[in-house]
Amino acid sequence: MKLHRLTEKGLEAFNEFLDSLTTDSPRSFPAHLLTDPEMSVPVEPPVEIETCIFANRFEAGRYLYQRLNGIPNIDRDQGLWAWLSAFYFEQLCPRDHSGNRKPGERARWIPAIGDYRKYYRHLLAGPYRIYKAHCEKPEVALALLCSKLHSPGDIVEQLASRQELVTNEAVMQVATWLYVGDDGRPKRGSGGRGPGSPRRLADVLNQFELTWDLYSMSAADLLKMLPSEFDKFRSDKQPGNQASTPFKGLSNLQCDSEG
Amino acid sequence: MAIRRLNYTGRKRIRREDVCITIFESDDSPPRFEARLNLGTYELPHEAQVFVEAYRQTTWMRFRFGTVGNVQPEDPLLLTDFGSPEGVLFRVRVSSLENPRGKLLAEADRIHPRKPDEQEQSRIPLLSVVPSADLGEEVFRVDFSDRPILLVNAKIPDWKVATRTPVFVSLVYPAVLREILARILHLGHPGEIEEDGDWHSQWLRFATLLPGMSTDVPASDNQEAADRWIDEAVGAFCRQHKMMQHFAQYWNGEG
Repeated sequence: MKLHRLTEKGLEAFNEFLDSLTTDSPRSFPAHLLTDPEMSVPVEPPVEIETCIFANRFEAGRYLYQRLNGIPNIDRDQGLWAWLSAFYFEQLCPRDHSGNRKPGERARWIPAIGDYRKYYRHLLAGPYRIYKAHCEKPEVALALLCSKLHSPGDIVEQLASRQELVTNEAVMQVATWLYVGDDGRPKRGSGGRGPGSPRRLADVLNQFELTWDLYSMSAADLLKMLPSEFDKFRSDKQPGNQASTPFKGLSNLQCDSEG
Repeated sequence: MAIRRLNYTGRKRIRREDVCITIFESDDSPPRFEARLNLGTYELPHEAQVFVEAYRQTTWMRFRFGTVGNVQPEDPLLLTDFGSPEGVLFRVRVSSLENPRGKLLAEADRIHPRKPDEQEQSRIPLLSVVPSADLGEEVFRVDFSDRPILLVNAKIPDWKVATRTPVFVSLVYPAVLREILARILHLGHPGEIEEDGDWHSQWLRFATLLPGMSTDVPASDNQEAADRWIDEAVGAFCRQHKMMQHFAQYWNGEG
């Protein structure tokens, strides 16, 4: 299907649909949003978008980067990202065991383009932008890209909410060294709030920023400076070449061009 | 509560007169800026790296500006992440290239840019008004992710004009002042106003300078006194700006 962007009317209808999901009478997905000329308009020049099954945020970020990079001002295009969220809705908002959908906050569906605390919560614009920021070496940002598309997790919440951190290659590499296991999945305990957690890493980096220019530092130097509370997440391989470790979730992208 | 910066590492403070940033608006492209930096008198290593960062609340962009010995931009100076230039501030950072690499050697922060037609750097406004596409059906919101700014729904046609109408001025600004003072005094502020302090002190000083206001700011642990002081401040602000007259003007169809 050709990539579209939702119009004002389309955004309104999408909002109403999302609102309905948390009521006693949830509506069924308004598929006409995707093509009805009143609800969405095609992006020019045309871009083909396929109905892919993304194993994780990394795959989604890579696919979207390959398809969308070069579209002017795309980061701030709320209508485009909202349309993509609608297009991949089944995958982004699966039914729970009771058959209900929990869409969560609106910034997951329509990006908060003026608030970067929330921007990265968007389920597609978030991974796209992280991948784009590290497109030459995207594996460094695995810590923020290795989770399921519909549940980004606390690492994302803590580290993606500040552009200074999420765009910094050294910071991303350190987070990946600390919190991603050899299997490409978040390490056990990395979602907690205690010592050594991503939340603490964000706090410690805030302190470092008062005396260091984190952007000018290497990941290895930064890792060395971390206090001992992070030791439980360090592994023997660090700082090594873990970024080049094959990430198991990268090879099985399934797409259907029929949409 | 604001973070107090202790300078243990000998970081140099770059004087404001040595940084001149001009911001240019355009209808069909993102805002851009130019920066003139005079770093020659700080005895910094020639090879130290220079960066200029633009920020507003949680939005942030970084631009490489060469080295102390050869200051010049290496990137296009387009503020693509900022929808509008309102409220954008800048900082200049100089960091070590040699060991310890990345050590912050000098910094200037909270640089308010000037517009092309301004001769002098204007003062930082206490409250920047910034259009936002994230407000949904809200008309306005005070954002506290850094110093307070007033977000106005970008869907309002001619939003700048709207914020100057009598009805907006009389209803919104007193509410904004109340919200900001309440935020300061209900979240553990000691009530003391620091000279050259952060935004908390600047807003408290603003309130104490309103007509008839006491300079004794109640501490946060006396909530009743704090609430009373806030009521008095908002009342004084409304008197000073004749808010009731503004509203009547709107109500009578004159605004």
